[in-house]
Amino acid sequence: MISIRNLVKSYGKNEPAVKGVSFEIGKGEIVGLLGPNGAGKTTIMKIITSYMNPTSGEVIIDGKNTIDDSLYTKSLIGYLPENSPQYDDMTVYEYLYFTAEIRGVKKDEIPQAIEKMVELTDLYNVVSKKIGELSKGYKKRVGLASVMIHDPQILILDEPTAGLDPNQIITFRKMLRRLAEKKTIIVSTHILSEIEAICERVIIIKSGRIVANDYIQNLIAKFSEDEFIEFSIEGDNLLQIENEMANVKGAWKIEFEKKDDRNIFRFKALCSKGSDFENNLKNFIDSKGYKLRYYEKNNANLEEIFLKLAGEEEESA
Amino acid sequence: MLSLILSFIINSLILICVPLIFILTPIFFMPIGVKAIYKKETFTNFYSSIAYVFLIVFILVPNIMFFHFFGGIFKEDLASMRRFFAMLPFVFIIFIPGLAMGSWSKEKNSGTIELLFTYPVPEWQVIVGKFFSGMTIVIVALYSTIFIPLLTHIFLGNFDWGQIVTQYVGSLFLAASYLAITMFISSLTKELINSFLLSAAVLLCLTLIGYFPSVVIFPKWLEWLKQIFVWSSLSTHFTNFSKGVIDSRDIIYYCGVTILFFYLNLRSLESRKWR
Repeated sequence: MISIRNLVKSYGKNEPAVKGVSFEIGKGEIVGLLGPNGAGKTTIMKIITSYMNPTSGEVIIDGKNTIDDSLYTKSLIGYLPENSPQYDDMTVYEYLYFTAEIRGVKKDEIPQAIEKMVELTDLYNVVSKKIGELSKGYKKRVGLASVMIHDPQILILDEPTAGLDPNQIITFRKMLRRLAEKKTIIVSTHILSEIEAICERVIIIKSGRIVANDYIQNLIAKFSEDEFIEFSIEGDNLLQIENEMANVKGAWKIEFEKKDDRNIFRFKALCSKGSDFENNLKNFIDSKGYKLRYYEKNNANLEEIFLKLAGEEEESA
Repeated sequence: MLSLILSFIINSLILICVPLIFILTPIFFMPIGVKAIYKKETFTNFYSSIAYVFLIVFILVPNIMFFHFFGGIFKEDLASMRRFFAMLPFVFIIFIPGLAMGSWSKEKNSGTIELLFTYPVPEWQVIVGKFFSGMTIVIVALYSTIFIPLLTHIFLGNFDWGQIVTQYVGSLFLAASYLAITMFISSLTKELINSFLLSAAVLLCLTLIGYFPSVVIFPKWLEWLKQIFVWSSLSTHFTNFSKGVIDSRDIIYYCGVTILFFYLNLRSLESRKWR
């Protein structure tokens, strides 16, 4: 359905935001684009939707190029940009009518299409209200209704749950899973639980490059030789401990998580199974005179895989 | 008296119908993208208070100036609207940037431009829809001045209706070029205030350069520059219309300016793809 080949996008003379990305998405798949802020997810989405053109490479949707046949490829897509921008002066009904009309829904079918979307996204209470008066959750739903009103084959959602409260997130995910039965969906997010809850496949992007493209189960299996260790150290100065900890060898990444108590600091380390990290950590704690207050070892999950693959980027972003 | 009222009704109808035919007929035959954008824009314009504030200002300022300032029409003792139309290019310098400053700036600022250009309609349709919507407000504003010929025609004297129709038609050409320029400038900036000030400044320059030759004495070897100033000014081409003369050169000039800035607007919006 969607085929992306060697996509490169540069903004001016800066380093390219997308550097040779290629992937395929089949019909009916629900794929998560995962990456830290500034990794290039939104740029890829904007290129797929023909909002901008790639510097090189191409995007083929349903056999057509997004530059030469942009009107056709646009008609297949429902795109919800980040923050779900809408026209605040219009009422929900007027806005849905406008989007249906401009997306080519036949005039006599528009009322039914609106009715269907209002039902699907549960907008009955606000249908005659101005969009500017709605809460973020409702605005998001209006956005979703507007991108689905022409029954597109492909849905592209950029950070769809940003700004929603937990209840709204759960409702939104349920709705998305229901939709996934019929449509190809690309969801961009930097929230891992979102990907685990919604997507079958995940594409992890780091600095404009794909670092992983696989089904979540496969990724976890692939990284099963990794483990993460959570431990708490009692000491006086967090900054000093962090600086000293940087010299402990054997882990991919060590990061401070939280304070367990006033002087007890929780850390998380990602390392390979059988690495020297455990010994090195114990030696470090003994030599510095700190006390170990908590210690737990676990197999890697998606979060750890993401930390390993895209973690360095997050620090610089 | 009856014939006066009858002639007023007929001429007013001509004044109302001609621009409406100008705007609504093409809209009827336009693709769905133009129609949808036109409806949305017109609706939003009339729904927001800004449109009404500008309409009130547009009604009050030229009318007060027409009837009272510099002695007003009464001192002139002539049943003509030339004074009114002579002021129009300057009134438009504030009115049209106020109306169209948000054409693209607002869309860019709120992020809705991303929606607009991911709909399956070509960019030119969006521009044309917005342009016709702006022209609709201009027509409404111009109609709101119709009580000048109404009052004066019935109570004061006999207007030359041919001249008035020409003046109103000329105003539409003038407004179209102002609108196209403002829309282009709006596509260059994200901030509404920048868009307004920049458009007003550009329009003021393009209007004033026409008056340059009458206040500055040009040496003979700079005669060509004088001609360029006169030819390129938005106001000089309006002079014929305000006299009641329709000159094809003026029509070609205004159409040319409008199409040129339409094209620049399109290029400016398309440039987002390659940035």
